[in-house]
Amino acid sequence: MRHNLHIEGQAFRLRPVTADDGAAILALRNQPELSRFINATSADPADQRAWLERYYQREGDYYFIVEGRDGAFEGTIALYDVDAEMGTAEWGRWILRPNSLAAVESALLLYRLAFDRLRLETVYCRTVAANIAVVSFHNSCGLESCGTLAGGFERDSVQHDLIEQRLRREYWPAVEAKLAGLAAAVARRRSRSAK
Amino acid sequence: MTTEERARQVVLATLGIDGPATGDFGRETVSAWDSLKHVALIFAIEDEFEVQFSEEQMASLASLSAIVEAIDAA
Repeated sequence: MRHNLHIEGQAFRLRPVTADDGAAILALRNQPELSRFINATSADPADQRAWLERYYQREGDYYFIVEGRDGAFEGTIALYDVDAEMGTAEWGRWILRPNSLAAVESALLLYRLAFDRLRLETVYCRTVAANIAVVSFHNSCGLESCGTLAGGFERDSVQHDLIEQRLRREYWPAVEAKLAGLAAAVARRRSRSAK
Repeated sequence: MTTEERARQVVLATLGIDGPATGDFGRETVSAWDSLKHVALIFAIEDEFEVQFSEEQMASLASLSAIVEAIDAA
């Protein structure tokens, strides 16, 4: 959906996706090392524009660009399927450029949107089981494993299992403290490197 | 204790795993070495060896051997 939410972090920030981001998103999503575990993305800019137009009409779907505080593109992240009544949402479309240090703070900012601004009760994510690094990241953050969705993702005619993990509000303070500490350390390092 | 032995201890402790006890290993081969733990272990290495890596270096230190090499060069 069209939104005007900007979430500032210490080194990185989330801002709304616009049509001008299409080329950068396409380039990112079509990098072979990054695209194995996500839905196939047409390389045609017209298809990307059409996808964005459909996204703009979709309520409860917040798509962001992850960028440095200096505006440098890092990747994308999104919160979607927001169910205000149930207080739940899923997050994903989380793709960062190789060697990006934005993982920790982008996740932190996404959770702050979900729990602090939207006042949700539970945020969950579904990751292809073979994407071990991301499954591990969520475990390291302190998310709970909810189970496996057998064959929940299909790509190139091959079905893959999805691991569902969730963060409930009651555990958010501890997760926030962990992510915020690391994000602050990364920010201090980036500040020193910039001098 | 050699630099490699000290670095190995720090990395394994941060990753929360027991081994490998010898030889090189890295993000490609250790599933527990995710983005969050990578940041944590780089800072732990810096504290242990009183060194500082640049932002550019941080992303490249993706194996024990790369870390040891960077410590020795610091």
